[in-house]
Amino acid sequence: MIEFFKTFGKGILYFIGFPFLLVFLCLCGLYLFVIFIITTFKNIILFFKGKNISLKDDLDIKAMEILKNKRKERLTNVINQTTQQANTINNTYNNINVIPKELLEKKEEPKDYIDMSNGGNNDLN
Amino acid sequence: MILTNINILNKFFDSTWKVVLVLLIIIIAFFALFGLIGTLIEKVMYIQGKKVDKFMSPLILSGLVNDEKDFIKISKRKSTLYFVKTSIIPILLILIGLLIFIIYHSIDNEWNESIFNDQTGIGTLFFTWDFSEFSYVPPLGFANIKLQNTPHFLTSIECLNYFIFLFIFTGLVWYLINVQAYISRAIRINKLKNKIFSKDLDNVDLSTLFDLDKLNDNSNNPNLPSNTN
Repeated sequence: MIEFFKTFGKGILYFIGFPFLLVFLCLCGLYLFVIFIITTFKNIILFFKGKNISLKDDLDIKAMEILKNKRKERLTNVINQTTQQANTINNTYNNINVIPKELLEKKEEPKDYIDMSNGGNNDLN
Repeated sequence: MILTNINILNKFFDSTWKVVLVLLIIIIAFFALFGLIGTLIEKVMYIQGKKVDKFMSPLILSGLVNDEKDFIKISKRKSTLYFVKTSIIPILLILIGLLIFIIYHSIDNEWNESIFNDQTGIGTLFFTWDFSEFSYVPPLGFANIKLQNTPHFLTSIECLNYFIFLFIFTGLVWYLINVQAYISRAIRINKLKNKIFSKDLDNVDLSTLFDLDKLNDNSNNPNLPSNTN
């Protein structure tokens, strides 16, 4: 009911203001017609000079490049984070860090020379 | 005598109240309809104004536009260019209508011919009435209204008036809708410039400036309930 009365009140306001709004619209139309003529001639001259007259200018192209690079950066950050997590498995139930079997079984290949830095002892243990 | 007078008075008041009630309902419905049309126009203007967001969001999000003056300059330029681009066709339609008008009247040399009347114009397609001998019959009666024209199509050269009216009317309505869209975009630019570049601290989330958890640290207060894990 309140909404109906609001609409009714708006209707009275619009009815009173309608002639003024119409006059304002027509005056804006005349002003914008002049702007249209001036802009059209300006664009014709710029077109023959080889300048860009479309809505998308250099600033828009630069903005799209920046946004594209930002998106790529965000994507690479997400990929890096997921690969780091994949290298260690967290067993949250037992609260222990489990090192993958492949990394544990990885053996150092025997050297074909004597390493004197360890006192000539090539034993891994 | 008194009884007949009372009966007449009763009949008069009954019919008058009915007429008043009907008029009241018509007036309320008329203003309510005006209000609904106004609300519809408001919603259409809001949608038209949203075009500014489409133009300016890449520039704002990339940080290339971070000044109020630049924002207004660039958005007004884009809005004007968009208005020019969309108004080419309606203005061409109006020009074509005017061209047909000039060519037709330069051939038959009758520059005073109306495109609206019911003999040579668009009025031939509607019912029209002659109100010159109109008289009022109370309470809601009208008399001496003569039917002047029944709908019919013109088949002579005067049918060009239909095309003149069609081109000019379509072009004019389209152009005025574009003007309305330009006004909607101007209102939206004004709103956005106040919102994005607001110097009002009420619109700033102060927790981003200060670490409010430390400022409001009540961990040593024994009277407050504590969260134990």
